[in-house]
Amino acid sequence: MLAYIVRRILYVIPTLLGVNVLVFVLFFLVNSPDDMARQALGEKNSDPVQVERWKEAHGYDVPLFWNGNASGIGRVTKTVFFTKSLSMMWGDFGKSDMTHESIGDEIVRRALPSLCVTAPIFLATLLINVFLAMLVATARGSVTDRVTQFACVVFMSISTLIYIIAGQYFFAKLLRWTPVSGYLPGLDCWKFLALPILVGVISSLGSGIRLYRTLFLEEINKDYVRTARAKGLPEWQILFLHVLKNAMIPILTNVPLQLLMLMMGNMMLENFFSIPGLGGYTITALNAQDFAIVRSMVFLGSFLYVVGLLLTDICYSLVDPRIRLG
Amino acid sequence: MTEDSSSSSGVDLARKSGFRLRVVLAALLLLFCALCIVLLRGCTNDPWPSGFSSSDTYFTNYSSEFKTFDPAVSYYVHEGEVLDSIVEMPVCYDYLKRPYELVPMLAESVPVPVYYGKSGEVLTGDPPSDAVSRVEYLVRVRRGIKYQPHPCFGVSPDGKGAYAGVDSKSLKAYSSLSEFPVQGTREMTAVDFKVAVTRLCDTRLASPIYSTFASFILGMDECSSLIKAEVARLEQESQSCGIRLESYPVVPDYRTLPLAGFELIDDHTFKLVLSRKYPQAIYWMALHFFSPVPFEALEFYAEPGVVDAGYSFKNWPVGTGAYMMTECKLREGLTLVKNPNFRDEFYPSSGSESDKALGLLADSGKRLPFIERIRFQYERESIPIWIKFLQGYYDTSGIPSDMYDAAVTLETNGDMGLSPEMAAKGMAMTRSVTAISYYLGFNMLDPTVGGLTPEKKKLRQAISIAVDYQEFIDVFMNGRGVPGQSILPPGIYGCVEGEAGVNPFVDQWDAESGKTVRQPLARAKELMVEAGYPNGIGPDGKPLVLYYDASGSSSQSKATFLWLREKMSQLGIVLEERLTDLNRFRDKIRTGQWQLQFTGWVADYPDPENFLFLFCGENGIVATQGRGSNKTNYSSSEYDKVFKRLETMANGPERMALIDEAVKILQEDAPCCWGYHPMSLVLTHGWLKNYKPHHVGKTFMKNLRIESEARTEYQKRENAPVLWPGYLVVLLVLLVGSWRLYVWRS
Repeated sequence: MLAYIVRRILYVIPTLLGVNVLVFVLFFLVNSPDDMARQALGEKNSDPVQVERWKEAHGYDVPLFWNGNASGIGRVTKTVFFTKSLSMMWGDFGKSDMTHESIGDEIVRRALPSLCVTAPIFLATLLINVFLAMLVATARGSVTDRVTQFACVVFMSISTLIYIIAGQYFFAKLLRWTPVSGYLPGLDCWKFLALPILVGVISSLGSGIRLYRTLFLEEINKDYVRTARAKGLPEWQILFLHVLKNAMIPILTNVPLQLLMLMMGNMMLENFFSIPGLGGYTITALNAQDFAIVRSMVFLGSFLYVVGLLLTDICYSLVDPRIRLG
Repeated sequence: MTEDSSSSSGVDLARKSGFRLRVVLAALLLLFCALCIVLLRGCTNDPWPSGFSSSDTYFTNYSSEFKTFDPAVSYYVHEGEVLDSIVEMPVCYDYLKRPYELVPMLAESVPVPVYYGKSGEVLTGDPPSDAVSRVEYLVRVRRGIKYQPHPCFGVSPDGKGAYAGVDSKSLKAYSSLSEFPVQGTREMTAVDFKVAVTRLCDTRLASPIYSTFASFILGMDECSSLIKAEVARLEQESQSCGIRLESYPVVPDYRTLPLAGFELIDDHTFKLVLSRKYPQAIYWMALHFFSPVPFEALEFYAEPGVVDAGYSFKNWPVGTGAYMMTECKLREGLTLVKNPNFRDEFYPSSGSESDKALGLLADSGKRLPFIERIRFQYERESIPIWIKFLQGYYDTSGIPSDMYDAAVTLETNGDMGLSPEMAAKGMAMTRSVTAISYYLGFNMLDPTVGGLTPEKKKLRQAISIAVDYQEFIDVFMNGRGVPGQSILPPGIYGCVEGEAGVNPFVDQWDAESGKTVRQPLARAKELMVEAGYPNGIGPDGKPLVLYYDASGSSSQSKATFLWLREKMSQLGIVLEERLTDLNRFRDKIRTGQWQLQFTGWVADYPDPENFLFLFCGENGIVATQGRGSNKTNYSSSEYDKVFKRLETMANGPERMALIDEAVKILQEDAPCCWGYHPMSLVLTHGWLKNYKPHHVGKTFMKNLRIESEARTEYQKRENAPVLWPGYLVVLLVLLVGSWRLYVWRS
């Protein structure tokens, strides 16, 4: 097991290096440092002198991959790739092109508000989806099942944006239960988080219930369930102690991958509810064309995805001892 | 027997376990309902920290993030609103007077230029530009003006800076600079202006106005080189001490670095020396690039401990203004509070009759600022801003397009008015035309639409008639704009409004409505015939095909293109769209590879030169390889001659006549289809007093006044939570849950 984990961690390094190179090439092919300077300076001030000064001030005045003017190791290290991209491999995300603030510090600061939104959504969605899916699965073919399936399709068909606007209008404007948007640190945050969490949970219900219902239906018709029923076990015990345990593997396949969403935040919710998390950070950076932040967030996303996959594999072996890693 | 007893004990076990589960579920149900009721009782939609809403705070918002408040770098309007409340400049704009008028701020009086001839003699009057070889502005700054309390001025008992060599750990306990235990202040002096102007030359800052300033302030390029050398020397020293330069940039002593364009006379007097005649320099002195920078602040923010604690000059500016920053989270919100050291400044006592009628002179002569605190909240979406405004949590708001019908009604004379619903809430609407011009430009280097031959002029005039911007404003902007007659927006000196200002080649005056309307389409068709394109058919017998170059493909830009195509088709012209990404689009502009594009210009200062220079031949963007701002590449020796004369002339009848002449040339040559000047519609609540939009100056916050009691009353009235649906849901959950448990038991 340990050997497997170590080996997987070692695999992560070349994978991330590949992602790093790919992200750099994509970004700098689309947007040269000159273009970035012009975008940052705006229409009025982007004359060639200003462009050169901006590049110099932001460290883009060196070659992209190979610095022929430098000597020794400087030929590699005094390049845009090394200073702006490769450094992300050791956690140095550099500074924002627009605000000059440390991206690493900002990521750390914004992770908590993001988690405050995404973690409750994740947990509540998981619990509600599993619970409802199980109930619906037991009533397969009944009117309840059909109505629920229809409702799920309706829920899935509605855009998250509609949920957000409707939620803001209904709960914040008509009922006046929560603020429309905003965030305050500390205990005051609950009044701002209640609505985005509710919207996040409702918008995830349709697809979640349908997915888990299918998983439970597969399990519920197996022989061990029939045996348990024949033994006279109460239905709730069969469902929650036996079916749920056996359905955990496919559930776990889905769950650790949510790590990405948990850490990176929910862009749309954070944007509309003005929550200072990582999702909103990314959206703001995209709007402001702050490519240093966008690059960092893409790289961080890839990193979390790889970590999520690793966790999935480890969870498999914990839940199902038949699966042996290594 | 054995089988029966094991079966009955299994049933008992199941019953017991079922009973326990029901008890647990019932308890959970009750707990859930109780929790819901507690949460419902505590519900509030107040987005501000406790006690904030009822305090003397002005609540406003921003939707584009703030990048910097460094006065040498900041160039965005929304940043200016914050920064110009904290720092002050030698001069500023009068809050009420229109047209905009400069008044002294930190200077004792508005500086006047002294012109020197080629042999050093003083030139009197308004000499021609070519006779002037040197210009001097003598600026006397007021005495006794103190900076806001700030740790950079704090002094330790041994006489050194209180935070010299400070450890970041000891600073991280504070969430704001205002919490630092040692604060101080000092009098502002002329040296601080020297620091401010010299800093603009530092290449590391990439000040956006460096090129502009270097074009008229003497010796900026030389100073830039000196700073570069000094920075290299200091960096070498730092490196030898093992200091990481990327984290702790060095600060050269801007006080002592020579700048030929800045002469320090004494502690309260300095001279700004210009290399050429440039009367508009005075307007630049009203921008924060000219605000004094205390060198202590730069030293303070260069302290490694301060840097590590996350404080920087670009986020925490230091100034003499009415307010000072106490909270700075660029992507969340900012808080400014009254500067206790603010000098004696009083609300203006002169204004127009309409100002008087609107109650804008009610606070005349009262000491500024009125409001204790200003809160800028980062809000990315317009709908939450609008809802919070209706709830009384913001004091002002624009009108989102979706809410236009709810907020605005058309009055009988066609003007926009506030809807009765909003008026009943005590709101007011302020309309004003902004100092911005948007227009459809023709590439004058293009063989089809460019050139100054009579045929080409007529082709452009015909297109200008067909593209009716009043219709555009009505369709796409809810009527929020004024069709342009020339590049000059209303309110800028030289812009003639009414019948006299009509563009005779494209528009005509409608006496009945008292408005300008486009000439009939038949006139455009006549012009097309004269241009050699009858019914849009060219000499080759094919329809004239034009290309509209744009970047981005939003639904709005697509709709705009379709509208343009429909207008052009009235003349038989086929319009095609050439979409590219922003970078390629800019390349096309720089190299002149385009035909038609929609563009605009926002005034830097309220002088016609700031708009008319966009058509000066020597500013052609292609001719200058990207340095110029003349995007249409228009070049007319006749126009250039007139422009060069009026460019540096003082306002007066002679300049007015020249502006008229320049405008007429542009109207005839039609390098653009003059588009429109957007109108700003701002809603304010009744408790906000003294609000008057100012589209050039940003120092207006200190003039605002809030009647907090009226606001609190409104907030209470409008925001009482509606709880019965919540209670109903809780009751239903309780009933259904209980019933389910009962049924289960049965």
